[in-house]
This record gives sequence, structure tokens and C-alpha cells, in this order.
Amino acid sequence: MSLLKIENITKTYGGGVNALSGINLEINNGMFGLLGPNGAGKSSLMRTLATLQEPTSGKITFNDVDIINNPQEMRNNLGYLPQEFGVYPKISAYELLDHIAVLKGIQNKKERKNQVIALLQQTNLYQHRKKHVSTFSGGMRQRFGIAQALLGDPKLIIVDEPTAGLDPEERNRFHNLLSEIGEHVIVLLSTHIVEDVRDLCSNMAIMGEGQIISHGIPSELIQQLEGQIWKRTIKKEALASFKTAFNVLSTQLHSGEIRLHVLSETKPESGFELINPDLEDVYFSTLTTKN
Amino acid sequence: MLFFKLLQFEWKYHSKQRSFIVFLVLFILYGILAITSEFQFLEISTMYNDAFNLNLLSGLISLGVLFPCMFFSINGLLRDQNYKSEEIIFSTGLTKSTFFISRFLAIFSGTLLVCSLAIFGVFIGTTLSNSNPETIHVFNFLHYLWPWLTFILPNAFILSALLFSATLLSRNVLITYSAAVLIIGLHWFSAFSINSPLLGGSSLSSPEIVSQISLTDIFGLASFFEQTQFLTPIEKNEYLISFSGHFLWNRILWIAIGSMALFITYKLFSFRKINSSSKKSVLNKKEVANLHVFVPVKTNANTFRMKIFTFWSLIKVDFKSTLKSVPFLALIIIWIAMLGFSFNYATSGIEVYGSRYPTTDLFLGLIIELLPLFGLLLVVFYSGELVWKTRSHKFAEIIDVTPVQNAVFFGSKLVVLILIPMVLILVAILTGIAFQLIHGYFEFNIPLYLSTFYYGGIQLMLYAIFCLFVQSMVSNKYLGMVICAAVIFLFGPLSDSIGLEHPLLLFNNVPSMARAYSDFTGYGHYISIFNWMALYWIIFSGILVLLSYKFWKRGIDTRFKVKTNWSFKEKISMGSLLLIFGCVGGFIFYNTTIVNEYITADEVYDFNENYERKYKKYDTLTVPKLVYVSTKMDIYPSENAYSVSATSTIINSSSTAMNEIFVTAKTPLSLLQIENSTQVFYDSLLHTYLFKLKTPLLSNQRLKMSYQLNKKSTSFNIDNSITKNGSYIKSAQFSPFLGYVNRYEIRDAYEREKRGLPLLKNTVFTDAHLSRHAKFNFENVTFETIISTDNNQIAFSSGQLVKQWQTGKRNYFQYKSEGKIDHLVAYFSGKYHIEKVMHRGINIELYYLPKHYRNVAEMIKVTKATIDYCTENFGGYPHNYLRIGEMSTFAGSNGQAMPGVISINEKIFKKSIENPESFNVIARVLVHEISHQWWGLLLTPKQIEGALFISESFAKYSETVILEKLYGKAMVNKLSAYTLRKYFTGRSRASHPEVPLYITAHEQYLAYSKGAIILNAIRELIGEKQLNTALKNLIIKYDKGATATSLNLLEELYQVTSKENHVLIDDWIKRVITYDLSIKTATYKKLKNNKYEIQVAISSQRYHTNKSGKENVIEINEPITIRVNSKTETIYLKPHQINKNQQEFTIVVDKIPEYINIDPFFTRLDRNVSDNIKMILPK
Repeated sequence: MSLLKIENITKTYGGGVNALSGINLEINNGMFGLLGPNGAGKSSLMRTLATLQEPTSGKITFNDVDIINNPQEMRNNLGYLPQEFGVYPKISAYELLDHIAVLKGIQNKKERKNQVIALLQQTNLYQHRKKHVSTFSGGMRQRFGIAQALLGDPKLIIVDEPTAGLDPEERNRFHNLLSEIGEHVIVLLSTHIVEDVRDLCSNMAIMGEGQIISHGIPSELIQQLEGQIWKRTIKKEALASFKTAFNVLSTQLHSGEIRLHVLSETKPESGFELINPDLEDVYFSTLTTKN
Repeated sequence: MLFFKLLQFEWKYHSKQRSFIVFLVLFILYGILAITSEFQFLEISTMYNDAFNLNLLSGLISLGVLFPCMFFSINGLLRDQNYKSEEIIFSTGLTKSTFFISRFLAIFSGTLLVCSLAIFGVFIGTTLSNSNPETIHVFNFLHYLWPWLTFILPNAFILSALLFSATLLSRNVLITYSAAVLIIGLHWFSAFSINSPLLGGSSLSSPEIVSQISLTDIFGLASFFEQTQFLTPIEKNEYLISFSGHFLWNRILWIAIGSMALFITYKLFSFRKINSSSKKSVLNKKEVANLHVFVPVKTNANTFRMKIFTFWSLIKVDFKSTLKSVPFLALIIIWIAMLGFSFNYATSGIEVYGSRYPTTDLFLGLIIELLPLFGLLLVVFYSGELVWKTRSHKFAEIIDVTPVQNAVFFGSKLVVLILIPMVLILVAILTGIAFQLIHGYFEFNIPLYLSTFYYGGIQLMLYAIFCLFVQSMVSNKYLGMVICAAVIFLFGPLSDSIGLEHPLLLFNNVPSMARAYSDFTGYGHYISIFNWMALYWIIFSGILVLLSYKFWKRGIDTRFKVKTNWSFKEKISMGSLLLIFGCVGGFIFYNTTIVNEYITADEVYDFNENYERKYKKYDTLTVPKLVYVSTKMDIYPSENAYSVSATSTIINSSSTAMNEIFVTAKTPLSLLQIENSTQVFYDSLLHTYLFKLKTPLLSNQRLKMSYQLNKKSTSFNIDNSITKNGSYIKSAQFSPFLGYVNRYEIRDAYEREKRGLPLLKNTVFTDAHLSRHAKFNFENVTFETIISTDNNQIAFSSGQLVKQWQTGKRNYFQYKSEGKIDHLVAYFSGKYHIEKVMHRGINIELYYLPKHYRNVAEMIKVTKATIDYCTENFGGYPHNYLRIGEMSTFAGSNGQAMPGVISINEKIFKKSIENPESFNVIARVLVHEISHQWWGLLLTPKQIEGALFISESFAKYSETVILEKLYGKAMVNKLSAYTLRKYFTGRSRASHPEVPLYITAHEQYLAYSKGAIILNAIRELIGEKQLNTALKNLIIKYDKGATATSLNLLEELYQVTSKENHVLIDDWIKRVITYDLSIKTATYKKLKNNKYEIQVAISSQRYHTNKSGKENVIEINEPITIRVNSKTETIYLKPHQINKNQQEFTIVVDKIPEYINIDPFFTRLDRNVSDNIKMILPK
């Protein structure tokens, strides 16, 4: 059982931009989803956890080891998929994975080979293993990124926007792989796609403007909104007036008309219909409340 | 308007780059420093900023701008790719032409700006300069403008066009580097081929080679040198390069190539093709593989074994990707081409250099000389590429989170960066061996080859570490590269100019071993100093390694951060490194500066000034002469030491009594005694003595004088004359002067003025001067010596071998002169083989290194031929022995002559005469030195102006006649053409206007080159027999003592020439006359009697150069030889009286004429000989 503890982490970049301000989290084995809009500070937090940058203040411990002063301990246990990455030219997928496996510390050649092949198969890259990674398409490259993050025996896997660029089938495969691994280790998944969290995560937090605005177990968070989410379909022209009159959580275009979700403890108006809340409503309601 | 907006944007972008600013500053500084610190190569001309030098500087600056241009191209063209904005840029409405032109113009104008500012820096430099005002030209705008128009503007365009095209088409940084390296390589090839003064060439190659290269040299410098090679200093001051001939065609050719490159690039370039590299390959058929199930695998990155394993894996990945990359392969091919070319050049022996055996040491010298040129470039490029590799490929976030320690990452980069230059060395060694194999030479010396990794590799390794250090500090790869390049230039080629002299301050400089190898001793005594300096800088690099490791950037923050959290281990390492660095530095400092006097250029002048100020008063003292010298010379080769104990007799040969004797010692003496005298003082700084005689020494009275000295060569004060094998110690090195030495005085008028010394009087020269008394004349003495050396060596000197014995572990040799011989002798000691031959009653003994056996027979043959010719024509040989001793390459010159003994450099022993077409240098040098037994020794000229003319030009004359007898006219003609060029080049680079031949002081271009040409001219005029009669008479009259002057020579020449030719001989020897001969037109028609009538128009000019160096046209009236050749042979050869500037002759010959030649044997001092020959066309 691993434990990642984040205490009061802040990160201020040159120019006084506060990317993270006072983050506190405790994460156990299992999938943990970090949800938030672009620019909320998710990547900053992920990079800080991945020892790619030092926080301005605060403390991070992994299994009670301070990883800010001892980043090596974190790196020994880490699998990391950055949000955006490139590769060296003229090196095949197999060779590159093998190289990273060495860097991660797998010395036994056979073990390394088996694991690399297994990962290539599971990410559906096996038939491409001899091709140069630099010629891969976006989705293939993303799968390659996942494969390298799983090399070795990571106790903490950080994946930053992993499903961007994957088609539905690939995404499914990826989810299965992650959830399998997530039973034994911590998987920290950062995303702005609510479904990813809904499908996978046993725990989650929502970030906005460098802060954790809400965290908990998804089902519990959904339960809190029970009886407060109302739906209505309106004409496009009416949207502005609805937005001023009600607490509109989300809008969705549907056959030229707009479907509204509104947060309200009572029925806002006739024409609204009570629905069962889902995680998306949690997300939007958290962000709206915050604003 | 969009276009201008874009250009403006480009400019803003470039000017914001830090490397741009650095370049501007560096180039302005270069311009200023070129003048204020008087760059050495500017000394080819007499004024630092005259038209010649401004042109040269413009050429050099346009060469240097290659680097900024390369960076601008990369920055300007690859930024869209680097910052992933290309898809945005290229999908805008921007048209291809607008994009193309705006980007190109930005790069071109940036390049042009950098060079123009450098020239502006030159202008600033001239206003700041505090050099001798005589060396600064008044401001002349045209002198700046014309080179700017003809060199800077076109070169900036050509470079920009080529690099722009290479970058835009390849979209690969390394291809741009390779293109730049290729351009440098081509320029180097040109410079090397023409023997450019920039590479230290003393005169340009033959006109055929120079004219070809003038067309192909990208920068136009070859044609600049072609045009200016023979200009006199005064002409250079005002000479603007003529936009004609090869230079014009060169400019047209390269501008056309540049434009073509742009045009082709424009055609090939397309926005759409950008991503073509990521084309998708068709999938192979689905492979069936056993399903592997993912299971976590325990990792352990922290064991020592794993660290080594990771380290190795990192090196492998980086090294493999470097080796496999196309640009690297291209660089290796250029490298091999450069090596092959220079190996071939050095061994094939073009012109009069003679071919050489492809020995390993020769190649090593070339490799070590070429390595920095190529290796440092590579180190600068690859340090940037390697350090920033993960970041520029956006792979850093994946690599940096692996549990690999900084030390392992850093170490792997360091190793790869060091391996890259090692690949160069390995390739060079293989090229060398292949070259030797191809030429059927199997004596390759593998251990010596391998030593290059150390002697050639160390400096590259040091710079690799330094570059890694810089790259780990800076926040931008290109900025790092610029800084590295700047430091390399500053401490390399420019170190003199920034006033750095002491070896401890010359960053990363180890002594160059390129010319430190001798077959006698290997690298010998240079190894120790090399090791010390290498150790010193290696420790310094250790400090840099530790710092760069501490500053190693990991993660996403690339800004430089001061890290203060030093661990105890790190602190200890740093502390001990600093301590060792201090100790080694201290040791070297102690040895170079305290134990051995470290002398800067300024301190040499200080010595001269003090000497003159303190002792000028003794200038008037009479100098006693030596009549008897007996020495005991003990040579200790294994200890690099010798000691001398000398007893001599001196005589007062003047008519007045002598009261004091002033002595100047060249090396400190341990004892100096003069009989019947008291020592008044000894100056331990200047090593001078004054003795007061107890009773005055009357005319022709004698005194005993004795002295002793010990000399040791140490690592920090190397004396090349005493080595483990092949010691060659000349008595001139240690025998003291018995008077005030006038040539210690500072000659340079401006330096004298600065130091407040009175100006030296300019003597108005008259013939009467030559009859004055020579202060340190060469006197003949009775000589005897006992030389001792280690028992495995043979020692010899001048004189008859009287006795030879062995005592203890030492060999003793006693020599005694049979009569009086010149007092300047040399002592040899080495492990020689001896070849002994008896010829005409003379014991010929050749002392040589056993491995240099190949040319022994040839040397004996030439020696016999020379003795034959000289005894038959000049008089009997004065000894019954002739010893030829091989000396090591450190002795410098090709050969030297002592009484009955000559020394020949080992370089000559390694020449090859297997190809009869190639010039026979062995014969040339041997004939020259052996004939000095007549010219210089049998006939010892008085040591006064003209002495060098007598001894050297006759030795050169002997070369001509004897080589012609042995090897024919064609080989001699090669030599004459070369000698003529040497004369004009020497004249062109002289610091003073040319003086007439008969009062030559020390000007080698006169004594050797002009003297040889003039004697050939006289030979053509009066015949070899007549000339030899005059020479023989000269020897008969003056072989008793050193009294002959050039006037005596003239008297003898007048004796054998008709009256009307005296004027011509005076013109040649007593005045400075040059010619301009040319064949204007030549046609022939067939006559009825089956003969051919040639009509030839000849133009001829004669010039007189006055004392201030100005040339005036004078009239001509003299016979000059005209030669006509058919396809196969000479069909006409006769002198024609030339007495008009334009003249026509009719010549009738028997066969169809092919070409006609005026002065075919190069006897006239004609600057341009290419128009002396012409095809004869049928009418």
C-alpha cells in the first residue's frame, strides 16, 4: 500500500504567476482522477510530483519519504507520461523502450525483453515495434508514451492528459490497462475529460486556478447533488436570458436547440425537469460555485 | 508592404537573440584588435591599415562571418520547426516568394551588418592605435570601400545563399554545420594549395596552381594573393585589387553559384513538403507473437553495477545516433579528403620540395596540425547538440524522471563528446596507414600512431569538457556555441593579440607536438613539458567537470541556478582539485618563471636597452683575435647535458696597445680567465665582463684565455642542441664575444624613440665602406679538441682524428686541425652508422641514423660529383676528410657547413628520389653545403655587407651547375623559376627598401635568391668557363684570411668580361634593376626551302628601384636569350640584343615551331614570367 501526501504545495513562476497555491491531498492505491479546465494548474502539479520542478514551498512525501529533498526516491517508483513529448529520430520503438527500461533500472535482459514486448502488445504497437517512433501517428505515439510509463515496477503512475488523441477503441484498451494496474499502485490521472474519471477513478479532485476546489469519491459527490439538477431544452436565442435568470451549469447543442442543466434546490420554472445528476454536473457545479 | 513588415519582424527576431549581440561585439572587437594589437599576418605589409591590409582584413572578416551566417540561417529558418509553429506559419496566406525573400534578406543583411561593423572596428582601431605612426596609413575612404564592394558584399551574399539553401532544403541543423565545415574545408584546401601566407607560406606556389585556385577559392583570397604576391611594400600601401582577370571570374563564378543555389532552393522548397519526413510506411503483415502478459518487473537503479550498465546504455544510444547521422558521415568524408590531400601534398613534393617517404611521423605532424581546425568545430557543435538533445527533441520529461543520477547522465555526455574527436583521430590513423599501404611503404609505426590519441587528443578533450561546462551553464544552445567558439579563438589564434603569453594563462593550451618529433629521440624532451601542461589543464578541467555536474539541468527549468547544497564529498573533491591545481600550477610557474627566466617580448627589448646603455662605452675597445682554440667537450646524452672547458690564445692584431678587454658571454660561463689581467666586473644579469690588463698588450702580442661552462637541457628550458641521441652543439652557441656586440642594439627606430635611445645613424653607403675593418671577423685558428660521450655513441667534429679510446663508460675522440681552420665548428654525438668512401684522396664519411639508409648511395654519389666539379673549377679541397653528419629536425635548417664537416637535417634523409620526375632535394642540399667548403670556408669573406652574397649565391650557383650536370636542365629550370618567385616575394615582404646585391646585409631573398639569378645571368652572358675562371682567381687571391669583399668579386668579374658588359654587371650587382619582358605576338610562315620564318614582337621594360623603394623606367640594351621549341625539342636558342621597348625579330627555323620563349632560363628579374612564353600561330 503506497501513500502520496501533498501538503500545502505552492508554485510561483517568475513574473509572479501563481500556478499552484496551497494544494493538500492524500492519495492511496487506486485510480485518482484530477479534473480541471485548461490552465487550472494540473500539469504544474503533475510535473512537481514527477520531480521535474521544485515547488516554491510545501512538502510532498511518498511513503513517508520527502521527495523534494530526495527526488531519487520518487524516480525509483515513478511512471510518468507527460502531456506532450517528442522522441529521438531514427530509433525504433523497441530500441527506445528497451533504452528507457535500462534507465529505469531493469538490468536483466530477458526480463526487460519480456516486459517491453508485453507492453508493446498491450498498447497494440507490437507490429510497429521496428519502426522509428518519430514516424508514428499521434495516437500511436500516445500509446508509446503509455507503454514507457508502465516500464519497470512503478508504484506511482502519473499520466497527464493520456487519452487526448486516442480513438474510442484505443481509449477503451487504455482504460482497461490502467484499471488493471491501478489495483496495486497509485495512478494519478490528470484530465479535463469527465468521462475518463467517471469510468475509472475511485477517488478524484477538481482543480481550478491552482487550488483543489473539491475532492472525494465520485459517487458521493454525485449523491450530494441529488434533486438539484434540472434540465430543459430551449431555443438558441433564449440562452442569454436563461443564463442571467438561473444558475446554468452546462449547455449542450442538440439538433439546433440547446439543452440546459441548471442547479437549483427547487424547480426553477415550469418546463424544467428533474434529472439524476452525473459527474459532469458535479464538475460544472463545483467550478460555478467557485466562481 | 506585407513584405517589409515581414522583414522588419525578421530583423526584430534576430536582433533579440543574445548570440546576435555577442557576434556584433566580437566582430567589432576583432576589427579594433587587428590594428591596435598589430596582428602578425598584417606584417606582410609595412602599414597596418594600408590598402593591402584593409583588403586582407576584409577577406578574413568575410571568412569569419561564416559562423554568424550559419547561426542566422539556423535561427531564421529552423525556428518554426523548433517551436512547432511551422504548420501555422505555412498555412497562412503567406506566399512562398514573400517568405523566401524576407527570410533570405534578413540572413544576408545580418551577415553583411556583422562584417561591416568589423570593418568599422578596424577604422576605430586605427584611431586608437598607439603603434609607430609610420605604420599607420592616413585615412582613405576608398581603401575601405573598394574591399567592401569586392570582398565583403559578394562574400556575405555567397555565404548567405549557400547556407540558407542548405538549411532550408535539409531542415537539419547538422547539415548546416556540415555545409559550413565544407566551406571551411574548401577554403583550407585553397590556402594549402597556393601555400597561402595565412598558413605561414613563405611564397606562393607555381603560377599554374595559383591561377586555378584563384578561380575556385570561395572567398577570393587566393586571387588577392595572386595579384599582390610580388608588390613592393610601397605599392602595397596604395594597391586596390584590380577587378579583372582571375579575380573578376572568381566573383562572377561564385555569385552565379550562390544565385543558382537560391534559385534551385526556391524551386524545390514547398510549404507542403515540410512534414514529408513523417511519412507513414505500409504496415507489415500482422505478426503473430506469443502473447506476453504485462507483469511489473522489479527495478533497482541504485546499484553500482546498474549505474555502469545505464551509463553504457546512454553512451551507446548517443554515440550510435551520432555515428549514424548523415552529417557526421559527411564530415568524416571531408576529413578523409583533407587528410588524403595533405598527405599527398607532403609526400609527392610539388615544385622544388621533392617527394618524401610516407613516414608515420610526417603524417602524425600533419594530423596534429589539422586536428584542431576540424576537431574543435566538431566539439563546439556536438557539445550543444548532445547537451540539449533531450530537450530539443522534447524527450526530456521522459528521460529526466527516470531514476538515473545526474552524474551518470553527465558522465555519458562527457564520454560521447570525447569519443567524437577520438573517432576523427582513429579515422586519421586509418587514412595514414591506408596511404602508406597504397604507396608500398610498410614501416608504419603503430605505437607512434596511437600516441596521437594523447598528443593530439588531449586538447580536444579539454575543450570538450569546457564546452560541456559552458552548455550546462547557458540557457540556450546557440549562445553556448558562440561563447565556446569565442573562447577557443581568444586563447588560440588571437592569444597574442590580447597580450597573453605565459603558458599558465593560455587556457587549454598544451605545447603542439606537430613538429616535435625526431627519429633520433622521438618526442624526447618535449614529452615532459607536454605532460606537465596537460596535467595542469586536466586538473582545471576536473574543476569544470565538477561545476558542470553541479549545474546539470534536469527537468523543465533551464535557467541557470546557483546551487549551494554541496555535499561533503563534493566539497572535499572540489577542495582537493583546487589544491592540486594550485600545486601543479605553482610547480610549473616555479620552473618556467623562477628557475628559468621567463622572458616576454618586451623583456628582450629591456635586455637590449640595458646592454646598450651600460656598455656602449666599450664599443670603441679593440677586439682581440683568436689564433688557437683547444676544447674539452664532455657530452652526457643521457642527462641532456654537456660541459666545455676551453683554452685559447688571443692576439692583438691592431696597431695600438690594448688595455682592457670587454667580454659578452652568450650563455653564462662558470669560469672565465684572461692571463695577466684582473677582472674589473662581472654583470650577472647581462653576462658581461671587463678585464684590465696588468701590462698593455702590444701589437701582435698574445695572451692565454680560458673559460668553462656547463649546460643542461631541462623540461622547462629545452636546449635542442643536446639530446639523448643526435646532439649537435655549435661552438657559436657558447664561445663568448670579446667585445661590445653592436647587433644587440635595438634596430627599430620607433622602439628606440619610445625608450629614449638616440636614433641610429643612417649611413650613406659608399664603396669605401667595404674596406673598413670588420669587428667580429671570421678568423682561422689552430684547433684541437677532445670530445667524450656515452660509450654507445660516436662523437666527431672538425680536424683529423688523432686518437680514439675508451675509459670507463665513455668514448673519447681527439681531433686536431692540420693547419688553420675557421674557428666556428660543431660537435656531434649520436648512435650513427658510418659509410666510408675514399675519393680523390679525401675520406668521405657519412654519419647517419641506421633507419635512414635509403639515400646513402645517392648522397655519396652527389658528394663525389660535387668534389669533382669544385676541385676542377674552383681549386683544391683543403682537407683530407669530409664528414657529413645527420642532425635532428630540431636544428632547423636543411644543412650547415663547418670546416671539413657538413650537417644535413634528417628531413633530407627522408626524402625520396624514387620518382625521377620529382625534384632532387637531397642533391640540392648536399651540393649547397659541400660547396660552402669553397664558398665561405676556403674563401672566407670579410664579415661586412656583401659577405652573405659571396658565400650564399656561389653555393646556390654551384647547385645550378652541378644539378644540371647530374639531372639535366629541366630540373634546374624548376629551381630557377622557384628562386625567382622567392626573390619577388621576399622583396614584397621586406621591411626596408631593397639594397643592391653587393651590400646585402642579412636579406636572404637577396643573398640566396637574387644572387643565384644574377650569377645565372652572368653565366649566360659570358659562359660558365669564364665565370669559373673569375671565381677560381678570387679564391687564389683571398684564401689566406677573411678579407674578400664583394668589390673584389666585381674586380675579378671585370677581368673576364668585355668592357661593354661591365655596365650590365654593375646594373645587376651594384644597382636594383627589374624587368618586364613579354612576347606580344608570334606567327610563322613556311618558306620555299622548307624552312619556317617566325615573326615575333617583344615588349621589354627595365626599372630602376631607388633608395626609397620607388621604381622608375630606364632604358634597356642587353642580350636576352630567345628560345623556340617544336612539339618535341628546342629548335632555336640564341641571345638577341634587346634595345627598344617594342621590338620585332625574324627567326628562321628548320621545323614547325610550337612556342617561343624569351628568357627561358629565368635569368632576368621579371615579376610576371607567364607572358614570356607564347604559342606561335601560322600566319
